[in-house]
Amino acid sequence: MPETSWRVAEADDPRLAEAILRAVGADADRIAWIRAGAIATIAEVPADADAARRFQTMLELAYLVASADGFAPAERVSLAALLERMTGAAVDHAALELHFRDLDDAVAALGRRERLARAAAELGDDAGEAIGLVAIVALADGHLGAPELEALIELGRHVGIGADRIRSLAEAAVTRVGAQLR
Amino acid sequence: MTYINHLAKEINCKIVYYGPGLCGKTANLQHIFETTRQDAKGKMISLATDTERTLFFDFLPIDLGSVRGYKVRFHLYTVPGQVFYDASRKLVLRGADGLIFVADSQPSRAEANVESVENLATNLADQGQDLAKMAYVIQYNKRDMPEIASVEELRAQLNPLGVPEYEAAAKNGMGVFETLKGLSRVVLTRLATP
Repeated sequence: MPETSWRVAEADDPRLAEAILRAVGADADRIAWIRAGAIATIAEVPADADAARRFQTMLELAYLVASADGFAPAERVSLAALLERMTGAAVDHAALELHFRDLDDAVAALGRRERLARAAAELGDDAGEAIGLVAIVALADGHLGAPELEALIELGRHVGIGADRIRSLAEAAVTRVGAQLR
Repeated sequence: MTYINHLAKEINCKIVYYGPGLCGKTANLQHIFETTRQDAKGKMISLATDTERTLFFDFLPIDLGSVRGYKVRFHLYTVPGQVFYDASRKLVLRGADGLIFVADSQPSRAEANVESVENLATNLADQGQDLAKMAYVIQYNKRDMPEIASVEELRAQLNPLGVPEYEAAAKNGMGVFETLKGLSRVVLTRLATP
């Protein structure tokens, strides 16, 4: 049976956020688009609407995957803090925590499966890359469990990526963060 | 349940099209989707399992302006009218800010219309909601068909609450936006009322 659950660290491990940031930051282009998207999102009139949409899609997917097995207050705080650092503080953690509450409401009103399908529809040719990033971000509490993997697999279904490939993307995310922790 | 996306500065409203099978709910959605600017809408999404099916998309109606500085995004949802999709219909009503009941104007569909509007009231009541308190309008669709009931007959059968009503032929777009705008006015008035 293939693995469906991984733990890279305890949730309160002080090295965890740094390890995830280094795993994400290994790709300079990725950090650049995340920051550009964050800046475009908070602008009164976004100079780059596509970048804003891409960033918001990444945020929503990270939320949907991370909250697949519930979303404890501590997990919200650590994910918001991680995303704040990832955006170069373009969006602060309070705004991100508020955004998670907004997404709670979105899921309640519009449906979790529906929101996942809606966000998936925004992914383009780089859907595999986006899913890999979401898997890394979902490790903000040190754990990627079966419900989160299921959410990633469901996301993959929407963009035509099979379960085996999703599992290997999740394993790669775990390996990359794990390597930064060693 | 309107929800606010503070980051995107958007107020999000869920509008549900309800009605019997083949009454033209999907035709309403398709017409709005096809005539909305590309950059103002999301993709049309169909989610289906063995027992559930939902069709939806969201868009920013340009002509609605903003409410307290926030853009308004509408999420239009529908579910199949067939009886065996009742679980889907219940689910889709959850969190609805506004309802459009699409009736088929043909006399042969009178019974199906009545059953469906009763089913709507029952499914809302199961969730502790009252149709009379919802933002709600009725569309008498298929006015272009050769045999149709009069608006007075349809009103007597389907609109005891006296909510706003619109005639339409959704297949060719007639009345589709008028209906949505009519409901939007009700929804936005509620939003703007503190």
